[in-house]
Amino acid sequence: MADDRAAPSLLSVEHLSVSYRTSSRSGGEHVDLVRDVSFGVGRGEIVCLVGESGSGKTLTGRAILGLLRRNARMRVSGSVWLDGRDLAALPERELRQVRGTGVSMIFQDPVAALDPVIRVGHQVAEAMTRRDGRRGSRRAVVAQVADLLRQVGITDTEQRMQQFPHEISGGMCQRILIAIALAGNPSLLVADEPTTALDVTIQAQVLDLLASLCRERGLSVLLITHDMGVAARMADRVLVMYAGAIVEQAPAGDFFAHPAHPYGLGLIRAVPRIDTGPADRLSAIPGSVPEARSRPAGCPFHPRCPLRADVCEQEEPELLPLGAQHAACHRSAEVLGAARSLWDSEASVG
Amino acid sequence: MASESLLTATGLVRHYRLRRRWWLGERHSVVKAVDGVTVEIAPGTTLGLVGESGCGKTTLGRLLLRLDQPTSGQVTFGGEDWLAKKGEQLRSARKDMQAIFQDPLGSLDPRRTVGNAIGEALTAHGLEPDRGARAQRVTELLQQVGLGADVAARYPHELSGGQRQRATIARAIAVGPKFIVCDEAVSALDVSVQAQIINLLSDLQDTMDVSYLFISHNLATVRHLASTVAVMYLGKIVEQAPADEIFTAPAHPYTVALLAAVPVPDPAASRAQAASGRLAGDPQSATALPSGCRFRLRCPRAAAICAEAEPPLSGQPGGHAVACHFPHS
Amino acid sequence: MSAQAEVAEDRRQPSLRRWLDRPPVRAWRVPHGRPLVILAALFLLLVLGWAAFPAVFAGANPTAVNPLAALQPPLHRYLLGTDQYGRSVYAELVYGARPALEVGVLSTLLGGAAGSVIGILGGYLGGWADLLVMRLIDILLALPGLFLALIFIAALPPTLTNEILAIGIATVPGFARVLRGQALGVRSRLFVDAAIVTGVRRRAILWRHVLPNCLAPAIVLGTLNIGTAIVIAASLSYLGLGPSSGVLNWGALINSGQGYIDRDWWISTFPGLLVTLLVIAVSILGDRLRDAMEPSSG
Repeated sequence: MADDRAAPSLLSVEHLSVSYRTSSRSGGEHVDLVRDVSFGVGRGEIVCLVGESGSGKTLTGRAILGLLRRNARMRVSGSVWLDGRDLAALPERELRQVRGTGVSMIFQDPVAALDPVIRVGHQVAEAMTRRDGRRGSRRAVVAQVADLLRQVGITDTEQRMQQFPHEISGGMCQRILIAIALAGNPSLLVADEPTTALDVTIQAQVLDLLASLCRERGLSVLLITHDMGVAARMADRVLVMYAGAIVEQAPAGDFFAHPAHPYGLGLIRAVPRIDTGPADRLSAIPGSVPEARSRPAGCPFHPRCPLRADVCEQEEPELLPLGAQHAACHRSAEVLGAARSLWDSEASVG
Repeated sequence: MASESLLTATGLVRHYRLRRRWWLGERHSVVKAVDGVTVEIAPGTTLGLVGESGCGKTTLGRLLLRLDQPTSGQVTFGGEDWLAKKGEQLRSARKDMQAIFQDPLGSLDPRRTVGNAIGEALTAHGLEPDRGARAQRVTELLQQVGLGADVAARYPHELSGGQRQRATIARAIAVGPKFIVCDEAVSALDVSVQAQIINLLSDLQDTMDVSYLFISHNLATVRHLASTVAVMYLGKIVEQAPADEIFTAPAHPYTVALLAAVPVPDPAASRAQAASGRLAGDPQSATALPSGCRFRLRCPRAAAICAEAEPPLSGQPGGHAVACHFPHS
Repeated sequence: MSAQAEVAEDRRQPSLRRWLDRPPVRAWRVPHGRPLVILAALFLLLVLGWAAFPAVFAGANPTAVNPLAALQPPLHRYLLGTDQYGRSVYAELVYGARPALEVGVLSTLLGGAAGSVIGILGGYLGGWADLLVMRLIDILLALPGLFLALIFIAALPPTLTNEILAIGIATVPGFARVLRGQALGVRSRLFVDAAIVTGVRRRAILWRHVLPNCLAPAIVLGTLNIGTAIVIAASLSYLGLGPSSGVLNWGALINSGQGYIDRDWWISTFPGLLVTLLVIAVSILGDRLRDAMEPSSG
């Protein structure tokens, strides 16, 4: 299920699955959290992985960096091809080399991700330490750190470098983390809800920064978010996840103009908007995301879907192409046609 | 519009004194969390209170709920002096003012069932003393918020986020309040569930004629409920107007920046937003306020006068008030 | 730690550290888990049986003096040997179980309940109530448990009841301090705010919301304390300050055997060992109980 663009793929995730073994006390079953996910990210491309809680998007991001290995209960299968190497098959020692230089990650809570007792300048410098142990002179390192900080839009670098994480704001911390993530010059940045914990005005600044870094350095970004607005602003391509699987995949323009999956459409419609007049009622998706342990048979979305048919209860649909878009829905052609009005009659309390 | 106000808060102030040891002796700093706020809420309406973190909106909510003591100011609720009530008088008056919080899991006692929590609200105010009638009432309330009767026997951790929040709403409406403080009531919920809860709150307002103070950092969620919107920055209200006007004709530069920053699920609109400029700098700390207008360090329109004199919140015709020397028109 | 910190830390550490920290193939684990808990429970059950029906386990007349059988080593004719008066050490241990458990459990219940109430009230109410509670704790904590109990028991006639009282008082500050901290924490939790806003009476909030959410550490502390109380009681008896009636007391036994410890070691050793094992067993069970009491997190 590789991407369908002309740009050469930098990252290619193939048949990634993550399952979790629950403790023997409650029966010791395997719960599938990410199910057969395949997608690609091209060079210089921003791909948004969109989903709500329980969709598996965060686990997908962590699996790409091999961060699930430490958890003995998690089982990861599939391949993660980055620049010709399968990260999932690499031993930990080699994967550590790739982290920071090939692919890097930033997380949701910027203040918590920094060591509170070390000045931020030091933390950036540590990320820059050459793998072979060679460190330049102190002056050279300071200059490099200052340069990196400037690249992420921090002015008065001298002062900032000396500060501790608790002395600087959340937005600034996130910039520092982006600096740390970019210190090793990776080609791919995985950003897991990087702006969720930030104020909306700061969020805009940080997103602008990511977009400009993408443009200027050719950095590819896999942006994981639950916020449709963020996806609209940033994405070149959108992947929608639900209940552990990708249910829709499309170029951003196509996705927002005419989504091909009822869930994707429902999500767009459910977001309250400031640019349109207030509706009498918001279009809500009834019901809630199913627990991983008790997913419905067939299409996992069918209990909440206005278009559900008998086939939806029996067979889980595959991700199939529809023009430039892909959707996992038995009736996606109708979704494309119905578009706006599909969810209007579903505006119930739920 | 002519009905008398249900709640009027005048000049509410909440300052926190921090004492810090600094070499020899101590340094005092003051956090001016709420620095002179005046609001009025009419019966059956919603006041949307928006602002980013540190602006004091949550503190204001807590002051109104009497979970915190104001440093100064007055509040009139239902025609009576709300801040003067104490002890049992306050406790029984709480019947009229309830709250829904951001964290539905945290606001329910993890050791008690949902039915127990709702029943407790009823018992506290002497409603339905008979156990059977109480259980019946709990079921009715659950149904009113869209939950099945079986939820009464469940514990909070057994429910989804949306279900939990509905349960807290059921507890809040159980005593028949006239006013509910919704403190970021939908912020912790998934998008699809947010819409459900907003719809629910709107429906309840229609059937119960209850007023809301809807506190949120997300302007868009406020739009669907609020008749009036107040924007807060660092402890003060910087703009207040009927909802439509705030969204179509914002006057304060901060409001303009907020609107420009809210993500919109439409790429074309997003690009248009981006073009309208970004707010520079970081939110200030509430201990080291700049002189004059507290927003001037981030304001694209700042001029000399902004450093000298703090602009008062002055009303313009049509109920639109702004605190700015150079408001947009 | 967060994954970000993990990634960052990976890069920071020099190679030796990284080698030491590599993911273990099989983690070292202190024996813990179901078999140990069962073992501890069985042992405790045995001691309880000793306390309830000593005659069943060790026959009647443990105090009967039998000079011919004096100082016999263990595993010859007597399971654990005999003391200098020819009495079976095993029988003395069995009969010593009841007073030991009585003192341990009752003093813990007494001191624990009193300390918990004081601590919770101080923590939740704050203000002058809290000040009073804190000063009381400070005063009582000025001396460690054993000495505190010593002072009280020295002042009172040495009966079992007074011993329970003395050790109970020594137990109060520990509970009060822990529960005060708990109550402070619970007080700032959102559901307490929610209950206040709902209009629930303060008494009801304390009883229904604060108390149950403070119980878990109290229970663990209680079980640990039973062990400590037994040790204190044995120490008091060892020092000769215990209840003067009857000599069937582990601490007294340790005392009486200490003159023989170089050759006839069994008289002092077995009671000491028993106390140790009992404390360990009680702690294991307390831990397990605490785990079972946490509300499951989905």
